[in-house]
Amino acid sequence: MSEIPNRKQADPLDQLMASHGDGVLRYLRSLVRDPEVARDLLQDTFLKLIDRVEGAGRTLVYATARNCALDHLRRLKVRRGNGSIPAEASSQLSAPALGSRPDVHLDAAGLRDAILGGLATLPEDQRTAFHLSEIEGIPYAEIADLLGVSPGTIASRKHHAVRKLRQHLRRLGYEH
Amino acid sequence: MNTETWKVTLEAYLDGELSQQQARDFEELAASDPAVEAELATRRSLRAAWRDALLAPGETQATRPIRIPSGRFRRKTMGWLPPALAASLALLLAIPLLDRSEHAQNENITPALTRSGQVVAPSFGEIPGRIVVLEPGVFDLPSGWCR
Repeated sequence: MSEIPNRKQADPLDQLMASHGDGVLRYLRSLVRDPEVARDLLQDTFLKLIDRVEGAGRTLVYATARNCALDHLRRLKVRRGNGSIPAEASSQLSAPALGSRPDVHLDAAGLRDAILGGLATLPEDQRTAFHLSEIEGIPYAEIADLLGVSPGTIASRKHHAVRKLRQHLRRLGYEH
Repeated sequence: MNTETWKVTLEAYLDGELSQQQARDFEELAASDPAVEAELATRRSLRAAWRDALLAPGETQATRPIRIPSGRFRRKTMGWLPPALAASLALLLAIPLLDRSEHAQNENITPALTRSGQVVAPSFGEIPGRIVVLEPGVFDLPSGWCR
């Protein structure tokens, strides 16, 4: 007697995407700002992981995403011909004008743009420490592993990132 | 503990990175120092607002790469490309067909001479039986034709 066919076995890539896809996309967005570029980089990330999808952990996924983003930023730097990895053009998104919205605290879209604008002014390592810890809730030890530094360094980078981001938001009227 | 130090510790406290003893020490500090307590409350509310803003669904929803029959994957971008290629191909095929059809239509007009000396086109286009009578002199006969 033939067995009833099992339900289609879950694809490991689907599982990986379901577990980390949204988080990685948010992380990429914080690194490159442009949502379309972030989506492309997400695809690149998972394409690179296809052959290593079995047993791929969160650290590997985020490390791969970071490498994709840094490659993109380097290419951008070469194209623009300047000397530093760009904090993706701050003018790409419409952050509110200085002091123009002093009473807006709950405008999530505006705040998101303001945060992304603020993150864009930070060095990449502070951005990564901030986003992965503050937004994604990843432990310092895991972020440290990803960046190849100590957990204490992550704590310090995050502290500096928070301080600068708050200054930026204060200038935009998002924090008094 | 100076200000810079307790602010770093505050972050670690919020992130759950302190040991139980360290966390208790920090809570004692916060209870005894209004500035620390106020900063802790501010950071908690900021974290909630930042997470709400950045975790909001919409632009940050991932789509997986598409699997193609060979088992390889391709990026799910440039979705406009296949329809654009199909439309271009259709246009390339249609141009010679339209041209040939127009040419064939012209070939159907076969002028002839009647006894009265009128030039008659026995059929015209795709309307069978339609006869077009041209006035003498209107239609120039090609060389080699004779009346």
